[in-house]
Formats: sequence, C-alpha cells, structure tokens
Amino acid sequence: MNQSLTPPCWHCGQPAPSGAFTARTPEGSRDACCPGCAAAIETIYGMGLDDYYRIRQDEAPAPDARRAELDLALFEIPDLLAPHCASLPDGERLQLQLSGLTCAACSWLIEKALSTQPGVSRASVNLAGMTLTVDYQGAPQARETARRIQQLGYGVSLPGDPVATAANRREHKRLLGRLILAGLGAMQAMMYSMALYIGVFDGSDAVYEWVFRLASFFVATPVVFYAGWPFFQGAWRGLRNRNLTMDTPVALALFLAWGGSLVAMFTGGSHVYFDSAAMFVFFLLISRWLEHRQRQAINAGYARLGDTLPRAVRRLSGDQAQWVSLRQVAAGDRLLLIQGDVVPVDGRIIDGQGTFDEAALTGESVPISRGLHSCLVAGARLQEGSITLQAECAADHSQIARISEQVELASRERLDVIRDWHRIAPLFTAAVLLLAAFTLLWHWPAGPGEAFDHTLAVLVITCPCALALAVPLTLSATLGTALREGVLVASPRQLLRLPHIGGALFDKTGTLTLGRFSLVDTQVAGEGQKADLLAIVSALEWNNPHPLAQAFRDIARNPQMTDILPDGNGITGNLQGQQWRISGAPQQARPGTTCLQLSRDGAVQLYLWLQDSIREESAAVTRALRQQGLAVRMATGDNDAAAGPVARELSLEEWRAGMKPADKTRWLKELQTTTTQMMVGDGINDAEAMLAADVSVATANATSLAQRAAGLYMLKDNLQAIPALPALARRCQRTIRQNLTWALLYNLLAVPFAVAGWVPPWAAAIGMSASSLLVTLNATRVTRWKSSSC
Amino acid sequence: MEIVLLLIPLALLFLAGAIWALFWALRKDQFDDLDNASWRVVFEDREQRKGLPTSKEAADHDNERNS
Repeated sequence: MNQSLTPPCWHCGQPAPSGAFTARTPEGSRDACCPGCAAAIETIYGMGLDDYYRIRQDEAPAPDARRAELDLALFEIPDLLAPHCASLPDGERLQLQLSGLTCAACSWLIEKALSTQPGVSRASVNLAGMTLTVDYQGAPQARETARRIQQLGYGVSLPGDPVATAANRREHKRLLGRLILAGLGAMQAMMYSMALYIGVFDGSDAVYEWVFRLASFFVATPVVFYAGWPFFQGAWRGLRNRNLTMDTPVALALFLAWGGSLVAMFTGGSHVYFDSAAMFVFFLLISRWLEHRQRQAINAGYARLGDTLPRAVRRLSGDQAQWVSLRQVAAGDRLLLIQGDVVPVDGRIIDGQGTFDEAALTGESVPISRGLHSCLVAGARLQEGSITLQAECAADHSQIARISEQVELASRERLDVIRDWHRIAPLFTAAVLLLAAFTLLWHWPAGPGEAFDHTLAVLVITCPCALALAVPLTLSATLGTALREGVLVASPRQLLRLPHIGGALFDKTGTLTLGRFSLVDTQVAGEGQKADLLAIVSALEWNNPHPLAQAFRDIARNPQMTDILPDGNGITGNLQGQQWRISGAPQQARPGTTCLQLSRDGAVQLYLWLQDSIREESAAVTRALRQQGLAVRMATGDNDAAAGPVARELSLEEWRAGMKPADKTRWLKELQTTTTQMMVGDGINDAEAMLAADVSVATANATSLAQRAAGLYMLKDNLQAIPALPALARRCQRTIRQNLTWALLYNLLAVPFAVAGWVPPWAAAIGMSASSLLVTLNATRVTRWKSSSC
Repeated sequence: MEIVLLLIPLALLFLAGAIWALFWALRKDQFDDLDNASWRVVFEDREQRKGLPTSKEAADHDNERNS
C-alpha cells in the first residue's frame, strides 16, 4: 500500500495529507485533515484566540461533521430546552453538556468564543463536569451558541435530568460542608483535650481546666450535631423501621460521649470526651465522602455517554419536515431520514431506499441494502441514501427501548452494591450494644461515673471506623488505578469477580475486530500502476462519509481530481478530461469482504477488497487470557464466512456465528452452568448477554447502550487493559482482606480490655484513629499498582 | 496563665471566621472546578500583554455593532 508520510493536522493532530485542506491564518497556511478542522482553525484565528494553540496541553478533538446538524437540531425544540433553562432577573440561564474538552485551554476558548455572541452576558465552563452555563440577556439563543461551539470542534448536547443533577450537587455540597466542619472542629477539640489529658492542670488551676473544657464543648457541639446529623438521622430511620443499622451504635456513642461530657462538665466529673466524639464524626464522614465521590465519578461517566437514539427527529407534515423531539413521535408518523441518521423508532420504509449499518444490532459487518416496505429496527444507521420512515409505534415501545429499560435498571442497582457489607451491620450493631449494656451493668457497683467511662470506651473502641473505611477506601483507590489504566469501573462487584472468571465470551464485529473497514486486497484490471490508481480512489473517496471511505483516509491523494460528485451508487470525478468512477462490485465480493471497482470512462481498472480487520492487539489479548486459564470463545451475529477466519487466526476455543441477541444470552447461560463467564462486547445485540454475564466489559467504540449495560468499560479504543484487570482485582481483594482482618483483629483484641475497664476512653479514641489511619495507608498502596508489574 | 482566658475565646472566634469563610466559598461554587481557575490567569495575562480587548469589552463592542 502506498502510504506516504503525512504531516499532522494543526488542529486535531490526525494525519493530514498535505494539500488536502488548508486553513488560511495570519501566520500562514496550516494543514488540516478535514473541512471541519480547517474551519475550526480559521474560526479560532479569526477571533484572535490563537493563543489556544500555544497553551493547550493536548490536541483538540476532530469535529464530526456528520453529527453536527443532528446535534444542532436539539436546540431548536423548545420542549427539550425548557428543563435546562432557568430565569434570571434580566434574562435566562442555560445549562449545556460539552464533550471533547481536553484541558483548560479548551474551556478558555469556548468562553471567549461565546462572550462575543450577541445577547450573551456570561459564559462559564466547568472543566471537571464538562458543563457550560450561559447567561443570556433576554431569550436564550441556544442554537447559535451550539453552532459556535461546534465550529470550534467541540461536541455539545443537553445535559441529563436537571432535577437529579441539582439534587446531586446539593448533596455533594452539604456533605463537603459537613466534612470541612468536622475536620476543623475535630482538630481543635483534640488540641484542647491534649492539654487536659496530659494533666497540665492540677487542682489549683480548676478555672483553666473549666475554660478548656468549655472551649472543646464549643467546637465539638456543632461537629456532633451538624456534621454528625446524618448518623442520627440514619439511626432514627433505622429504629422507625425496626432495623438495626451501623448508625445506631454510632449515634448512641456520639450522644453518650457528648451528653456524658456535658454532665461531667457541670458535676465536676473526671473526664470529658468532646474530642472523641468529634474525631469519631470526622473519620466516619471521610468514609462517606469517599463512597459519595465514587458514586459521583461513575454517574458523571454515564452522563457523558451519548444517546443510543437521536433525541430529535425530522417529522413530515405534508411535505414540510420539522424537527420534533423523539418523545412526540406517535405510531403512523412519517419521519425523514438522511445519510448518517440513526433510525429512531421501529418502522417501515414508505419512500426511498438505503444501505443500513446494522452492526450494532446484529453484528453483521457488511451494510445491508433495504428498499420500499422493508421493516427497520431502531438503532440501525442509514449509511447511504435517504428514506421516509413510517413509525410503527411510539419511541418507548421500540424493541431497543425494552433493552434500555433493563440496562437502566441494572445500572441503578449497581450503584448500591458498595454498601454490600452493610448486611452484617445489624449483627455487628446488636453485638456492640449488648457488650455496652453488659459493661455498664458489670461496672455499676463501682459507681455510675466509672461505669459510664468504661461503657463509652467500649462504644468508641468497637467503632466500625476502620471497618467502615476498609472497603470503600480500597475500592476507591482501585477504581482510580483502573481509570488511570483506561478502564471505567461502573460495578466494583464485577471487578472483584474477575479473578474467579473461568471463560471469556467475545463479540466479533467492533470488539475483536475494529468495526471499520480496511483495504485487504487489490487487483489491477487494466493498465496503470496500483499506487497511481489508489491515489485516484483516495481522491474520490476523500470527503465521503461512508464507512468504506475511511479505509482510504491514510492513502495519499491525487490532487488534480476535480468535479467530485456522488451519484447515488458511487462517486465520479474528472481527471485530465477522463471520467473516473468508483462504485460497488458485489459480484466480485469474496466471503466476508466487500468489493469496490474503479473504472475510467466505463472500463474497470482496479478491484478493491475491503474487510473489517482484526484489532492489532486481539491476538495478544486472547493469548494472555488463555494463559490465565480462561476459555476464550466468540459469539457473533455475522455469518460463518466472516467469522471463521477471525476465529482461526485468534485460535479461539469455540465460536458460533449467526447468533441473535437471545442466542448469545442462551449460550452464555449454558456456559455459566459450568463456570463463571466474562462477556466483552460493543453492540446493542450484546447488551442482553452482558447483563446476564458475571463480568461484562464494553469497548470504547461501543454503543452507549452497551456501555451502560457493562460493569466495566474501556476508555481507550483497544483491548489491551483486559488481561491486566484480574491482577488488579486480586490486588484489591488482598488489600480489602488485609484491612478487614486488621480492623476486626483490633476490635476483638481491644474489646475485652475495654469491657474489663482497663482502657480509658481517650486511649480508645487514639487507638481507633490509629487503626483507621493504618487502613487508609494500606489502601493507598493500591494506587501504586501498574499493569506492567504483573 | 491569665492570658489563656483571652486567647482561647479569640482562637474560637478565628475558628468561627475560618468556618464561615469555607462555607461561603462552598456556597459560591468555589470548589466546583479547581483546574480551570489556575489556567485562566495565564490566558488573561497573555491577552493583556497583546493589548487585546478583554472579553467583556469585546462583547460590548460586538453588541453595539449588531444592534
């Protein structure tokens, strides 16, 4: 293949064969890889924002021209916009979701570009959440804003459910506030108590002791009752439902420590325990905070996934097409679809014909041509042509909607499994309360004051702090490490199952293969050099959005080609007076491939065979999994001819072709009767099997439905991280076990002493903190894990 | 030692001030985006040195032209 060295695109860094597209700037011309990038460069220079290119830390995303129009359509439908608008005194505020931001330079660029839009009074980007807030004077001009963002090469869409987002933000802020207060208060209380513990004051300085006690009362009280409020709430809720939760002994210990100290302060008791109470709250809040952050990171990951189906569709009324939201579509509506659109609802073609990419639905890698009266399933992508579709049902009754519902349900359940260990909570709690009561009764003869001291020591020492921190901290560290390796873990439970997996079931199209076509063979039919002919093909296919055209992206183009025009079934162009045409040649296609022909003035010059080729790393990944003792299998919806070569090249244990989604699930369940299974896939057709699998992994190029169905999904478009994951999971498990063992051992050892009355409460508080600290440090060791070290 | 009687209430006052400031920052979304603000300085500095109008002036100018 003739592949000359190509300079990178000035904007996105992808190869840009010179002469392809150039952007004119005051500093000379810049190479671009596509018209979108060229426009972005000119826009940025035109606005005087070229500093962006000097300061950015990462290359910009390539604008996706195909999606641009559809994305903009969202901003024309008032129904869709309304939930994201809020009114201000002199205008409106709009929230938008951005994508493709790589560093702070991107957010600066967007803010600048929007600040010159008429009617915009303020635009601010939140890089962490990739959200944009725009304030308008008067009515929002959302479409213009979106268009400007797109021109710069970024993606823009409407954010998820605004009510849930706002509630989540409020909870996040409240928890952070509690944590800050508890941290500051606990440190202060500790400081005052230290003076009391080490006995600076003898009898003569009673007034100073009183001042110190009063000071620690002042700092600890808000900590206990404001920061510690969730524990009282939880305990109360538990009691009302006749349920013992971990919160019960915590709330009891807090109240006893605080109330007892207050009594001791006024009755001249020997000790106050305000510091113990405050430290207690602080440590427990840290654990809550970590859990919360984990949940948020997972939610944010979900929010950034695109939609499987378009949210806006062109509905025909008479001959007029009008953008409406998908939810408004009813059975019988006529919808207009053009090249690149995704079929939004199950229906039937009533006008026109087209080629459809159904890979996500069926796994078939070759696009299928469908004509008048054919049935279409929502989720297929129209590759070529334009059609009118008659909807057979409302959008939420499409086949895909049923799968989406299952997936949503599963992903919601998943967020709660972090709290799995809470099942042991009632037992633990009951044991602690019994012990405390026993201690109180046992020491009662020695006087209520002493009995109280010892009971408090038992409650503090049995605090599930270290126990509570052990699991969330380790998981948090592991999830962070996985993220660094390019894997987002939506279900920690699935990650922990990985070491015990017995087999892996892979999808073919888009998972083991790239899911896009590349040139595998050519045959010169006339005279002429292959390289010259390929340059002509490349020139013809250059600006074609068809997936087959991508195969020629990296081939140098013949720059003299003019009048390039698509003509329905192919593309024609003019080169030195001769007419060249590239078109399909289905009669020459070999099994599993698609064939194209290049002709000059009607005479065929070159045949080209294209195939969905195997990923570079697939062989290494499947080999590594086999070495770990997994049986690697493949289930595909594609035909035998396309699947066979792939399975043989990767020497898979077993493979089945022509499988419908339900067949995949059935086979997976069959395999699960002997050993646990991992499912790796990318399509809507894999979603069902992924939900049934013990561990499910979605590739980076997967449809968002599959990503939502998966417990783990890859952020980088390769499979390399998969074989390393079981090792990370084992490491995580080992750390959790160490932490739990330590926490339990400490509790079991210390409790008898506390019950016997040999541990003063302050020592119990220090022991508890040290134990928590140890657990924390042990958990952070996981972040140093590297995939190469296994 | 008498000074303790003054210093401790003073320390408590400072603490109250610090907590108030942190809660104020929290309410004003100061903790929302920690990456962006640190870079903004660099951009605005470059802009000023080049004598470009700041974003606000540019916006006003644009609005005038369009109205």
